[in-house]
Amino acid sequence: MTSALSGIVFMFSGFVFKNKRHLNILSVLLFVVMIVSAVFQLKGCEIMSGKYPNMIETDPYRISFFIILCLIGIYYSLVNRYNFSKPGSKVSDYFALIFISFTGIAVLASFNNLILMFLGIEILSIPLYALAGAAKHKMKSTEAAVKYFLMGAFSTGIMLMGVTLIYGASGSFLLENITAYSFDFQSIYYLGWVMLILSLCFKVSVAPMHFWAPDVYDGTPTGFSSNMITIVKGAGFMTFITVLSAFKITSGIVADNYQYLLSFLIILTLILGNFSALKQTSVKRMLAYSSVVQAGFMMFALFQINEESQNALLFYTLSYGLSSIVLFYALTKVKNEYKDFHGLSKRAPVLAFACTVALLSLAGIPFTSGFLAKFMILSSAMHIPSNLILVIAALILAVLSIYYYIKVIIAMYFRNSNKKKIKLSFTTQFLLVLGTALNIALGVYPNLLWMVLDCISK
Amino acid sequence: MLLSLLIILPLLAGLGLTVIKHNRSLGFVGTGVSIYLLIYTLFLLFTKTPVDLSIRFDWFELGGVKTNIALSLTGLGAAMVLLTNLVYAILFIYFYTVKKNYSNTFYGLLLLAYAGLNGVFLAQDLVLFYFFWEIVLIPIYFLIGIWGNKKTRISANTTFFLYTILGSMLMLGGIIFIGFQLKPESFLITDVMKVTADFGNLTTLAWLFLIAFAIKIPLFPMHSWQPAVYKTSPTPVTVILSALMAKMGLFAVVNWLLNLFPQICSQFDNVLYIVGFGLIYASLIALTTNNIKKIIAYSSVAHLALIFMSLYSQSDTGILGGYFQMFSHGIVVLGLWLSVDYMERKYKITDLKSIGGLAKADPAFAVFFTFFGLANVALPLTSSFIGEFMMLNALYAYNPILCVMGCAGVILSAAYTLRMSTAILFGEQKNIKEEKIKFPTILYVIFGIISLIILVLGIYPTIVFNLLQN
Repeated sequence: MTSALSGIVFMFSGFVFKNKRHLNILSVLLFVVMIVSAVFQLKGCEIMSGKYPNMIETDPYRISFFIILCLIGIYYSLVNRYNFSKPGSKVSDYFALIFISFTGIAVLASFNNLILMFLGIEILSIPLYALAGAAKHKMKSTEAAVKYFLMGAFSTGIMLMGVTLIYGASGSFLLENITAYSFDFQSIYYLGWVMLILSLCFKVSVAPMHFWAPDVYDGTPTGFSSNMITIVKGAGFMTFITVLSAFKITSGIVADNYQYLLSFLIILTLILGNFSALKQTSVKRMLAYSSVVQAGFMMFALFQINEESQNALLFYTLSYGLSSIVLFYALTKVKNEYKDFHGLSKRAPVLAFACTVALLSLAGIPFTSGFLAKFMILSSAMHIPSNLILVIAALILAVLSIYYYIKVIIAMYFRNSNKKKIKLSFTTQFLLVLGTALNIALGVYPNLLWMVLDCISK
Repeated sequence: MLLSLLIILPLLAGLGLTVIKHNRSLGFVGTGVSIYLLIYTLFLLFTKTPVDLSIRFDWFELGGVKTNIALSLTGLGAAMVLLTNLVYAILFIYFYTVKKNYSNTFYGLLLLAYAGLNGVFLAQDLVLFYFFWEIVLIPIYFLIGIWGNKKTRISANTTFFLYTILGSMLMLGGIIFIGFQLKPESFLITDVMKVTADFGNLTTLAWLFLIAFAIKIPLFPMHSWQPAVYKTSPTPVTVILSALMAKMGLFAVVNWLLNLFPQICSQFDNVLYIVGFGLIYASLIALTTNNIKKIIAYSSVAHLALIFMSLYSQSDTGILGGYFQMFSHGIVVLGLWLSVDYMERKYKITDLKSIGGLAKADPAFAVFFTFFGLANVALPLTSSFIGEFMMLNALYAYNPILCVMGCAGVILSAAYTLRMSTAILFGEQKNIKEEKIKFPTILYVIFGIISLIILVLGIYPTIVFNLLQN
């Protein structure tokens, strides 16, 4: 609710506020309002939660996920505050689009019904198609927008087909009715279920449905691809885990098939993502492929959906968000190629340090939140003994990913360059250090996150 | 509570030195910290009871399995912590007094590695151990990358980093399997030992850990990163790599592999043959190469392989000998590397052929260098002799073939060490400009202390044995 209002407020705010700074403050305020309203919903406040039977429910896990996404959103909009005006057009338009996509996330955080899920995903995606094409005069950006739109429409079609088939078999869109319906290998219901999984794979860019992702993330103006990679992907996974948890797998053969399907998707994602990222010469493209790899890791949470894996997914999203936002911010300051990063440790020590911690976090080195995120998410899949091979394969492939991450570190610290120094404002440096400190704090004491969430919900 | 100081103090000092911009060299902070911690460790070891020397807090919980912040200073861990602090103290004094212009960041990163090393030897919780195991790598990585040899630093460093990370990742897989398939109560070593003892066949799991540790030691055939890195890295880092980080691998074998998978010991016979082959192979390379750093690197590979073999000899003498030798090897190698650093600095040489007749010009150094060389050969009265004698003895009882391999290694070690010292110290004078060289007083003191420790342990090894047994 509030998020939709924020979007509308921003659409018109362009007339009122001419100053960018005011818009930034407004955006942070609106994010805070969204968080507060989410907290009220969590506490069961009547006015906020509303009464829409069979449409909206209050699920504490998803609401806290939404709150975390909002927090990442605040960090994102603060760090990137000067980048919104880069693509050209009015800043308020972009903010409006971002807030409308947050409306979609809010819907996804509370749907109870497959129709509403579909609506949520559409509301989330459509503003992003526009954001992808924000740099109108650039060929690459336009290409990204078209590609994203076509692929998005295609996957939506598959999703609708899946929903229809499920409706045909079970006679209901409601998640609880679907949970009650025990399905079999033969029924069309099964087909619908697979289609739903595949279409959601499109949204979170898991192989073999990942081909759009590198081009789109690369072509989109850097400030916005950081949003797509962190927040939107997190929302996608939130939907994924909710939808899948609604399906109770009762028959053995379906369970086996599910496990094979998931293992296949994961291993394919990791191999394709890692080997493609290895060859890139552009850091931005490398990060785009690495986001595919990270999505592969996040898929591990789906093997067995319980509180543990849900929490692991939440933690992973937060950790990945913190690291990616810093790295993409660095991309806006430096150019995209590896060689542009040369000597960054001398040119902008704070930025280089923040990037190093972010990269180590993505690589999964202890004392950063990335390590615990990997640890949690892999351990949640470990309840099935045969997954040991999969986990070890994933970890060995992670060594490859470390190779391309440390290539950036090598460029920043071990190579020299005589380019100009990069000046960062004090606030930006403070924000970067804050994000890094948070990253390390979560890596040392993960209970911090649960403590904060507990505090909010009580 | 007392123990955490061993980690927190170098950590804070290291962070401070790394971050703070200051034009004057602040190396004395590092020196102060290391000397203080050395005295502190001795104080802890000789005045406190074992109860004081362990701490445990809850950390976080994951899927019903708890992790703890658990540290303890006992047995081999105590000896290794003492070695770490000793090596660091001598290292810092040496590099601070010879006034090589390393920046503050350099000292800061060294201190961060220091904290990690102490942590590895103290940790009693599998996850905590993994944390420290990995975190040692990061400062070392930057140290080699920034201050290493200009030509080879990036390639050697990348190989080193990826190799060790590969091992760690395999170990992580093992940890995850232990935690969430075997379901111990917590990751504390005693709890983990309970579940692994009950569970049947764990060979795969043991291999995961073994590969991780073998890469770090390094054992043949996972040693290929090592010589290049030893050659590339600045000397303080080389000392840490060979005197301490290699011990990390051996310590992990003792503390984790042997404890968690005792029943698998007997299945590793083939591994021991491979390691024995590696021992001879490394010795032969050391015999043929001309680069001084490479000779010491390969000699290190050979000695560590012998220690590893004796740890699996399944007899108390062999294991105790192995522990002792771990301590002694750290000290001897420290002496050798500092000598190499001295020669490099003074005569700008890294090659055997380019120097000769040093004994005449610099007799004091020649005496020390010969002494360290002889300690490397394990001559009686030096500390290495005690360890090697016990190890070979136990190996003979366990499997004579392995003992023959070990003996061959010892003989070869005499050959290459003597070849090295002969080439450097005797023969025609080459590349030495001055007639007589004044050996600095401070180096008399430092080299003297190292020689004294070697000698005392060689005559009266009970000091370390007492430490190991309490």
